[in-house]
Amino acid sequence: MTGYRVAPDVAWVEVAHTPEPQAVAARVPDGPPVALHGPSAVIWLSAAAGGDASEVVDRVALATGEHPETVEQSVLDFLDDLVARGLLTFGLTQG
Amino acid sequence: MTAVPIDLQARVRLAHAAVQALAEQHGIDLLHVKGPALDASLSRPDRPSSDADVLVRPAQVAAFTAHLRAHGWRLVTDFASGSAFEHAANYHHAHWGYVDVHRVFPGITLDPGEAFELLWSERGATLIAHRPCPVPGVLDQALVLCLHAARAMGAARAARDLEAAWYDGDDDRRQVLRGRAHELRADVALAAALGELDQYPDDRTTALWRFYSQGGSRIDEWVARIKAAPTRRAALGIAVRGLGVNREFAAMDLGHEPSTRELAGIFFGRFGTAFRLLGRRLAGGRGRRT
Repeated sequence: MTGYRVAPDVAWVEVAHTPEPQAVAARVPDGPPVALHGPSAVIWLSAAAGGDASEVVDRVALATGEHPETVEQSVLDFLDDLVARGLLTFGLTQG
Repeated sequence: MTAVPIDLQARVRLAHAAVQALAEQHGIDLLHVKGPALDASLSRPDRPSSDADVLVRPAQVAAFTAHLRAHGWRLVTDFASGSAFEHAANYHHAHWGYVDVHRVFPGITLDPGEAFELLWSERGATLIAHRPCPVPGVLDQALVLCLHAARAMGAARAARDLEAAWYDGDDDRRQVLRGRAHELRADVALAAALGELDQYPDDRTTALWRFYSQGGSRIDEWVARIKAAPTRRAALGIAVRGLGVNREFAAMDLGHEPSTRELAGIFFGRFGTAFRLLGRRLAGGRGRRT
């Protein structure tokens, strides 16, 4: 199946104890780190769990309490951005 | 996405991951220690880190630090000026913050290469920033915490580390830890952590460990460092350097690169302080004897 996964040269951290979701992701060893806050962090965390576009959209919708159709385009655009930055890969995955 | 500051603890974790990636690219062996590298049994949520600590295979330190510099890391303090033990160099990266590159652990007196091999042979791995990083075995992590506590001058944080690393264990575990300390020739430093230095009255490093574990004046430290020097030549070097001024630390204190006049001012201020303390010592004043 095709889907998203964290790129093999990426390190990332979910920031603890924050009022809204936060994460930081970076290609290592050189970076730069990308700080993800609020909805962008929700999308990252949903994509980091793996899966295809609809699975990621469903997770984001569940986490935000929105309808999948409402968030779909924003999620897909942001996933494209993360792939362009080399933080996610999109392609064949195991399983 | 990048216009917000990055959480310090996240940055420390990313620093570990960044130096690990660099090590893997260049075939460097290193162990991640302290902070997020600690085993859960030894770690506490209230133990924040300000930098990443790694122990590098001593024979590869020069190569590793060259790779660090090539990837944007800037030397902050070198081995010679970092501490009395000359055990670590500190580097800073605009993205990742600070990393302490250790070539030895203070307190371990076995040949550094042999000591690393012993620690490496018992290594495990832990995920830091979702990247697998080699770490010392849990027992060695506990010993490292004890040795670190031995030079914390009784700080509360060190006392809590000692609680987790030593006192929370049973007698069998403590016996194994003592055995490992002996294997690594770290008996005196462990004794310092445990308040047992009186068992080593003749060791040349006892005064130094007493200073680091209990505190004292600059003169105490100076005298202890001279006593601990392995050779007369080294002792003389320490005696002379003791009055010198570390340009890197002066720059950090001043917030800018010190001028010649500022360095001279610090030097003469220190010179005056040293003689005042020495005067008190000779007069039987407050200076604690070593």
